[in-house]
Amino acid sequence: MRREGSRNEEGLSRRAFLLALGVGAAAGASAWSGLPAGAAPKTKAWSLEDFAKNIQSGGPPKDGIPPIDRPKYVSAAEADKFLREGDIVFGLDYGGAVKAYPQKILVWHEVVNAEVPREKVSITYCPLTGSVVAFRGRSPVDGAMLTFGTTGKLVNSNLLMYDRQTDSHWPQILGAAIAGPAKAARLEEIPLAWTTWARWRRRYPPTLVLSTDTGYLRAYGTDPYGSYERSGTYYDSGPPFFPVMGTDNRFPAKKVMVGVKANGAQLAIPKAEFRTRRVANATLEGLPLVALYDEGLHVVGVYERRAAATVLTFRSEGGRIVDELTGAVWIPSGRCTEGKLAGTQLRQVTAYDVMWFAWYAFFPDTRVLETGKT
Amino acid sequence: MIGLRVLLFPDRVAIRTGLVASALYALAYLYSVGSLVVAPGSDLVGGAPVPSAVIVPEWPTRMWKPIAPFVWEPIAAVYPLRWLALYLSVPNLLLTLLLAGLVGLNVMVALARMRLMRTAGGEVRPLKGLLGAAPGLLTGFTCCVPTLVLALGSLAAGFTVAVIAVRPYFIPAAVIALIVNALWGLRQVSCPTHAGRAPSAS
Repeated sequence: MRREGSRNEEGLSRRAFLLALGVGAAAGASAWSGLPAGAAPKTKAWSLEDFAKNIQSGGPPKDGIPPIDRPKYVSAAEADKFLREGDIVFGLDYGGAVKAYPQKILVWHEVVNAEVPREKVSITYCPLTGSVVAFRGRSPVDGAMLTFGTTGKLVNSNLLMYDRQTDSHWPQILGAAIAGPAKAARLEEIPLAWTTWARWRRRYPPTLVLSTDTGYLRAYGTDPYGSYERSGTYYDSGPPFFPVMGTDNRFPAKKVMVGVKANGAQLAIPKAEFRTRRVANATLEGLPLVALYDEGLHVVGVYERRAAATVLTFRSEGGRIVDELTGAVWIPSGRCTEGKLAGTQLRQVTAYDVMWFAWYAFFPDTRVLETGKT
Repeated sequence: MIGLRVLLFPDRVAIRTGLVASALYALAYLYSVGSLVVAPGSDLVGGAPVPSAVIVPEWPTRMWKPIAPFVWEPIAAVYPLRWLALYLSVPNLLLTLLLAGLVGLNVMVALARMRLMRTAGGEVRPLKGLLGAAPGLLTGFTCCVPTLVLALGSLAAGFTVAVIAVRPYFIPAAVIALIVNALWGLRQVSCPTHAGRAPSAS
């Protein structure tokens, strides 16, 4: 990995850097349909140095929370022996690979350095911020292969990873290096579905599932932070355990948002409320987007709403998703199944579940989708 | 030299009580650091049959790998029941033996001293020195959060950073406190004039 990246970025202004990084302030033009006028929060973007100054020790040493470097997989039938229908899994459908990563395993490891055909992929989960993000294991600086470990440290209560090749430090939610030779480089994110085992298995019967044979001994049947099925545990109530760089009380700290990053701006979609809205058209920093609720997986997918050069507008009609221009029918995975555009697949944009307090702490300029209107 | 007598000819009650205290402390310590897991309703073996035992193939390289201050990677596990597991780490077990041994010694010395001093008409508070064992039980860690903080819930969230900062000192503090207390107890009973407060003459 080149050193120049670090030197160059240090010379950039904060705003220029943030824009280049894609995490900068979304000033002015971005707007989602339904966003109430004047509802934008005050603008305050952070620099890399700000993040670096706010690194907290979580206690464990480097890789004290051990990443899984040689994951083994079992069939869905085998997985039925240790997964209950309501257990949370993180589903990956990428590059011809369909795999499920049980939350009950990842809560003890936080990082899985996996392989899909022809490339490395790292599945990362931070229980403290309720965020799961997959990254391509390729250096954005020089294209070299990257695998990740855990530093035992946190930024905004969020997992701070390091890459084994350059020892640069990457907060998971930011997806960018805040220190080290790769400083300011940004990882390429891959969509993951936060869903349940029953839903994922129904959608992808031939799925493989991460095995509990991880090479480590952990109490995989237990969750040290509580439970996503019970209320009153860390996952749905109380404040974060670690200090954060900014707070906002528009929503409870642990409320689940779907965090969207596009064109250097961010958007938070309240997940529970979107379940009834189902479809939302928007433009974020000039990029036309559509958010679609996938009931089968209970996930919100975000897509660029453009077919060829034509910008499309979607609506929900009798339980179906149709585009207003051609009347074609689309499915929540962003594919057109009936009509003139049949077979067209919209380009997916990074979006993942995350607790509100953490999303806001990293992206205080985030827009919030108002979900009360349809 | 009552102290020497305590060591060389301890009474059976003190020995038994000390051993029981050691065993209980060992269980509590193993539980606090996550080596002993009791999770009714959970399946800790991933559907595999029980009872069973597992050894990590890479155990020689993992044996001394720390996963938190004074907590090391388990290299073997025993599953007597589906919801009961004992994760074995060599350094964790050695530390457990040290701490539990010191607790047992403290109890033994304190009880023997108490019985001896009673016969001499003195008054002692035999177990207050065992407070030194408490920090050892607060060292558990769950991923990035001290078990103590997790157990106390959101009320303790504001103290996480402070607990993490002082946590590395818990074990040394416990060991020192237990050793000092055991030596102090022995010295006290070696010198009867210092051993507890004598009843008032009035």
